[in-house]
Amino acid sequence: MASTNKTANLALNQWVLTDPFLMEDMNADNQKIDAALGAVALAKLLDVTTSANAQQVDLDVSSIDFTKFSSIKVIASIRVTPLGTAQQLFGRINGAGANIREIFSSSSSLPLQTYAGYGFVCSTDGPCSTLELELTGFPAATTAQYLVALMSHGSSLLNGSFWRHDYVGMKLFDANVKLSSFSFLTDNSSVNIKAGSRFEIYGVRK
Amino acid sequence: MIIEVIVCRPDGTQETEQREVPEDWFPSAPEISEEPAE
Repeated sequence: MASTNKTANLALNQWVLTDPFLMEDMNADNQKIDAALGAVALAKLLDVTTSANAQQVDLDVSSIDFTKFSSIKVIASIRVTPLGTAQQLFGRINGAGANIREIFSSSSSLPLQTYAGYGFVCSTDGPCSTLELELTGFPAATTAQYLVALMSHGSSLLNGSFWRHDYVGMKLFDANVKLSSFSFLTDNSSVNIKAGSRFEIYGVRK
Repeated sequence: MIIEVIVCRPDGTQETEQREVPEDWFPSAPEISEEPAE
């Protein structure tokens, strides 16, 4: 016999002292929870607020299986110190060696960049410089080569005005090269990404 | 040059490390040429 009471949404067992506590009931509850979580379309893959200043912040995503997701969104809400000495924020994929093909439709050439997107540094203190990276196109692991499409949106308050910069690009991966890290830094080596900056990654499940 | 890097992981942990990078590690800033958004 299952428990006397049930939870409202998944009808999970809520035992009272006189109820028998059975392994079958516990296993059934775990199956319901697993199925419910698997059906949630959006997964939070990383959410970290930094506790120290540093010139660069790396998000180590080597443990994430991106083939389970049709789209990834990386949100960096960045503060810098000192103010006024850096103009741009950059987001990189797999370090600076990962060349990103810029694909603005108006350009006849396709320049290579070491960054996946960029935005502006806020001119006042606060989490008002945001750089978002959107990635789509993760294939099955058996694909020999594949493209990941990129869209970045950089937003900030700069000298009293709201600035936004959109960037479109793509990255060619070999099958044996994993998406392993995102890095964030400014254009000035003397500038730190300040403690209290927040980094989030969300995935849309296939 | 040597820079300070914070490495953040999905389990919420973070650690600071020193890393040697090339002198041109920090990208050049693209020109701000457009008008700010309204």
